[in-house]
Amino acid sequence: MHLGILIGIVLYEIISIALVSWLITRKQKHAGKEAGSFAFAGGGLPASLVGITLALTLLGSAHNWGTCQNAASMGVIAAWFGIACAVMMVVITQITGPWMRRTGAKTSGEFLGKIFGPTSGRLISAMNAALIIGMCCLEMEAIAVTINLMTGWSYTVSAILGGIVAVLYVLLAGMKEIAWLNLINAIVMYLGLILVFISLIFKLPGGWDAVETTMLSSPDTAWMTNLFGNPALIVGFAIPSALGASLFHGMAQTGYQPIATAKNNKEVKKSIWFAGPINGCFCILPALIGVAAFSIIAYRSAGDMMMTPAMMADLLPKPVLGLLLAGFLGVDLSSFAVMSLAPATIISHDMYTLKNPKATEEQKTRLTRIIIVIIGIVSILICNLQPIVVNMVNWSFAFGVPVFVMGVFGLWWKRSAKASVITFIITWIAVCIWSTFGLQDYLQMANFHVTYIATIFSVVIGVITTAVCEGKPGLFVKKRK
Amino acid sequence: MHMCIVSIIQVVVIVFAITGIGFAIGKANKFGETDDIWKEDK
Repeated sequence: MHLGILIGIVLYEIISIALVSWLITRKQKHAGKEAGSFAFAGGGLPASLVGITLALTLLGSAHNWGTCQNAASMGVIAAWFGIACAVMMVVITQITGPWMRRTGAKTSGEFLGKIFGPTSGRLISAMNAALIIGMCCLEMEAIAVTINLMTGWSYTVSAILGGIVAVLYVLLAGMKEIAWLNLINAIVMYLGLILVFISLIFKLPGGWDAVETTMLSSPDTAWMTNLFGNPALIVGFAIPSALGASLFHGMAQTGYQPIATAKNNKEVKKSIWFAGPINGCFCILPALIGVAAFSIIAYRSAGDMMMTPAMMADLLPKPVLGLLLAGFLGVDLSSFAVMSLAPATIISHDMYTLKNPKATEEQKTRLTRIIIVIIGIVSILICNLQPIVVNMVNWSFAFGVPVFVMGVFGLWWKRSAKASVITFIITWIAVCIWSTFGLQDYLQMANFHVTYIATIFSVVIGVITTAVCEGKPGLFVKKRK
Repeated sequence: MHMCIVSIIQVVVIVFAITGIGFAIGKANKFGETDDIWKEDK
């Protein structure tokens, strides 16, 4: 067990959380606490904090340990997941985020309810809440892997410890605290990754040149050293990742939550200069580090997920390993925090108000906190039962595709609750048949990603049902004329 | 090391190109420029 690293990282997390919470509480006592400040940071964040929060909210297990894991089968092409997320940032900050803010909606469910009415809105809220809770479990898996690497403790104990820290992370103050903690974690994580990369120049047997030579020595692995080395993976992985991430988060609570905290739409649009590069450039370093681990035969036997942690534990100086793990842990914690906050906010703001329409902000905040604790417990219980991280994330994205397509139709063409419900349900069934129940494997069409299926079904069924079913003009249509 | 440098430069160039193009798209999205809450015509 790396006791020094463990103590250092735990102290770092506790001190950073406590310090930021204390500073915010102190500031709020002086300024007076604004209504809704727990989940929405009082709605006054500048572009820098909005961009960094957005970048780190949507930068978690799939970017760090997930990309290392992917590098074992696709080499540096795994970095395309980050590039895909830069496209997603453009969609959120330049297109859908400002649209959603202009409707006055505080959650994606409220926004979609304004387009399609309460039935479709609640259907999407329920789907989003379930999928995002699933993603919380992925984040918990990454947190547990990090703690396992730090301590050598069993995966279960690591997950329980990680769950407690993760829940504390979000419970103490809410969105505003996470925004500031993200800023600190971003700096630590990038510093850690750069130091790991530099350390590996000296610590890898033969340095990075030996990694490249080993990979290039076989035609089976030579393509893994080139970002454009396998066109089939660009079609089967990079493009669907960009499409799925953009269409899922473009109108989901995870993408909208940080946007809702911005001071105004100008700040939202400027935030792309932080969100795009921070999120988009991240994956290349884990991808290269994953390739390094793959190039050393001794670590391959540890399996795709654990070969990179095993190499790091062996080769890296302890301070560098500690800094990296603190950064990774911080990122996964902040992603867990906002992801758990998103379904909790959906339930407290969209669903609880059905039963109690006169619920006060204090009651909603209390319910949000209780739900976050429940999500933490559920995540701990099932985080060990997850498939390959990036595959799971991309599968989840496919469920958001019809919501985005029908959302755009509903804003700019026609709103029909019936058309939207039919499109959602048919597309979700198609996604399940193609991916979950294995039609894709049966037909041996590995590169025909489930996101393509979801997009084709959404557009075709959406156009037909919207044209045929009765409905009101698009939400933004009338005044445009 | 050649692999690392080339890959990092490629990723940075692609990401900043996407960001720049995205920002230009945002400039064209005039509807999302203001903060006025949209009132639906009844």
